[in-house]
Amino acid sequence: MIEFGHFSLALAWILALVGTVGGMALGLSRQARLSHVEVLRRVTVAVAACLGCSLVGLGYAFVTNDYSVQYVWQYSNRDMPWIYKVTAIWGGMDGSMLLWCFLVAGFGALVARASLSYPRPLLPFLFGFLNTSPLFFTTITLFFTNPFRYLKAPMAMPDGNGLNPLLQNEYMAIHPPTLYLGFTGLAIPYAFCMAALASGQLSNDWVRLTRRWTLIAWTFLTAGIVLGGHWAYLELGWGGFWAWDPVENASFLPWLTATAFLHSFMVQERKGMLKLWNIFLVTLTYALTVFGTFLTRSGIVQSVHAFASTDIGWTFLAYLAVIFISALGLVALRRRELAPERAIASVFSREAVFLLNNLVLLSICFAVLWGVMFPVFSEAFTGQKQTVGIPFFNAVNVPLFLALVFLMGIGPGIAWRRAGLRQVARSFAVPFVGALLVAIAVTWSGITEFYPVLAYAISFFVVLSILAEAQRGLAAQAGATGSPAASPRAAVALFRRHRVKYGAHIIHFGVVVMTVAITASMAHKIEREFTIAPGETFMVGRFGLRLQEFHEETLKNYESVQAHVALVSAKDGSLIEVLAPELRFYPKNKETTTEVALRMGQREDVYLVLAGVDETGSKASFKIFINPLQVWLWYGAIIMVLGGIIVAVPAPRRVPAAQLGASRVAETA
Amino acid sequence: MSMWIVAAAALSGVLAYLFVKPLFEPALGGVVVLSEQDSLRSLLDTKERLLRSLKDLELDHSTGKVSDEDYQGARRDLSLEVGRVLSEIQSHGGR
Repeated sequence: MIEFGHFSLALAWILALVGTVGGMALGLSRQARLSHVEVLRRVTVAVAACLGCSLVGLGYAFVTNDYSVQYVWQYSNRDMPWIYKVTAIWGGMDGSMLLWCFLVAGFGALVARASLSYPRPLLPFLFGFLNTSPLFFTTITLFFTNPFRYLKAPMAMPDGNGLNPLLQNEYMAIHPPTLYLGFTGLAIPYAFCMAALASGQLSNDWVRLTRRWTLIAWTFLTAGIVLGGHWAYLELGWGGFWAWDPVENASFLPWLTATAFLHSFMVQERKGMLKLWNIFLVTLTYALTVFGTFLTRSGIVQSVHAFASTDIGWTFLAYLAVIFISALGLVALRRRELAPERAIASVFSREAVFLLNNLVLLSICFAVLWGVMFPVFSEAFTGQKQTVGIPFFNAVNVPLFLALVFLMGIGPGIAWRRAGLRQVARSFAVPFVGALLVAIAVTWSGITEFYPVLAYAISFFVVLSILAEAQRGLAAQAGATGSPAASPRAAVALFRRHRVKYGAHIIHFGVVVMTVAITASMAHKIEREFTIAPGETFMVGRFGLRLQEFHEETLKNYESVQAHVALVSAKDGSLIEVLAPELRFYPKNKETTTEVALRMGQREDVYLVLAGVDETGSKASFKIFINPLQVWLWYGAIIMVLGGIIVAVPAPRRVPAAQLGASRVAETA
Repeated sequence: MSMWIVAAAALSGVLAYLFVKPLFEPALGGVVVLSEQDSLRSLLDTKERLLRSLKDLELDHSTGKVSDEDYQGARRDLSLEVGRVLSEIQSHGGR
């Protein structure tokens, strides 16, 4: 099977080359035979099929413990449960690149399958550009990071090295593929954009066709980023979920720019404005996904999430140069057709708010990128590598994020084209007063720091704006149909009629929930370190922690020490739960990991880490974090993803009544 | 013969068949003109955009985001523009 996997990879590379070159050549000709376009479409699907076969070949080698393959030997061993043998496919760089190839080609194949209804003149270049990403990544995989290489050893290896213990976690089964689906899906808007530029088909078609693919990718990227945060929260034992680590940032950068163009697409579709800006955003987003891959695999920055450093960085830089130069060339070629059809009529308009939203998102993107690259720049200019840490990122990004959340409340409540001042004042009076009252109440309760108070007030402002918008929609619907304004049926009817709009409101509501959770967990977090002996109690917040006993265990894959700690109420000493933080030692990897004991609650998380046990086994050191409203961060993310799904899923086609009747007759017959 | 060679040959054979098949299908004998600038397509695009703007304007007015005065002015401008684009589309033979 390993040879078959290798063969399939090579075949995929050849087909991606044919797809790219053939697509470009056909696009450059004055006319194309339909049969040739169809062959190109099939080639695009076949690339994904071959890469699927290749991935199956590698997976088979893992599951059957084929240690003649270097990659399998390096990232698995016989004692690992089968699920981790499967996840080990993307546990190292070589396999993760193969997965990347498959997913990017898979998206291309899905677009190719859906392309029968697309404008035909767009197709040759579309297939050409859809194949460029698989071509680049299969080139890297086949020639530089081939996971099918045999192990150079004098004798057959009886067992493998084993997967990094930190990656032996169920989240690794879902987090990387979800994140990669987000990254690779963003190659689709880029392919559409370049195809539209190259073919001159610059009507709104490419924007309209791209939006759903972008939303799908964006939803996966959102889910992937949050799953990564959840994995870090559970597995790394530092009590947080986001540390502005370079690799975390690398996933966040394209999310920011993709969010920006999801908004500015609407302006182009409705007003014929921001055409050039959208091309810039789409290209930048794709370039940032490639840059993220480069960052993770080049060894240029240090990160707990990075793969081992390699010398393939130059290939990514060369590809990034090709992306930007080709985009610039095509924009120069089509510059006349990209002129805006009108200007923004008023600053009090939704398009102006969307533009402001884009500028804030780009500012955050630039700040994060600057922070990520600062060590590289500082070393280049001063000879000394200097890093910027969490304080820098928080100082710059917290105000920008709050501005972004505020704009989320403004945008939907303001009219397209031009809104009167009186209407603006009327739309936002209630949300503004509500936010002011929240700010006063929060300050009254003893929270006096500026940003937390502002964050709670802005969050409430957005929630009220969403509710006010829904209320106005219900009233307008009632006026038009004569039905009662406030009834569940009316709300459902309104939601179904404006599914995309209210789906976006759900996403915004998810962001608000996350904002509140992040603010609470950052601003009101309690963090303590303590050492206690069995029978002793340590008091923290409204809890007490009483060490009961130690429990040692030797399993197939690791040895563990568990501390059983009773979590009791500080008020009356009653038992709430027994927590069992754990230290694990993996002999094959010679690594120790901490397994956090977590009590998730709606009000707060109790997060207990066993830091160490003294040599005599009579005392243990712990770290405890009380994280207020932490669980709401994950709820907010779920709400966002649900909103993304609602917006991305196509509306059911309305079948005319006559046709429906005819089909029913046919069914009966 | 190794199993993998059989599998590789089968995969290659299936793909070759799928690639060659469209070349002999009569339904795919036509051509697509790629270099033609489609001005009708562009006009239809503008019409679609203007109609969408009208719909947005109606919605914004019904939800109280636009004053009656602004609504009347904007509606008149958009309607005139839609009329102009529709007559251009008709002159291109479109609907």
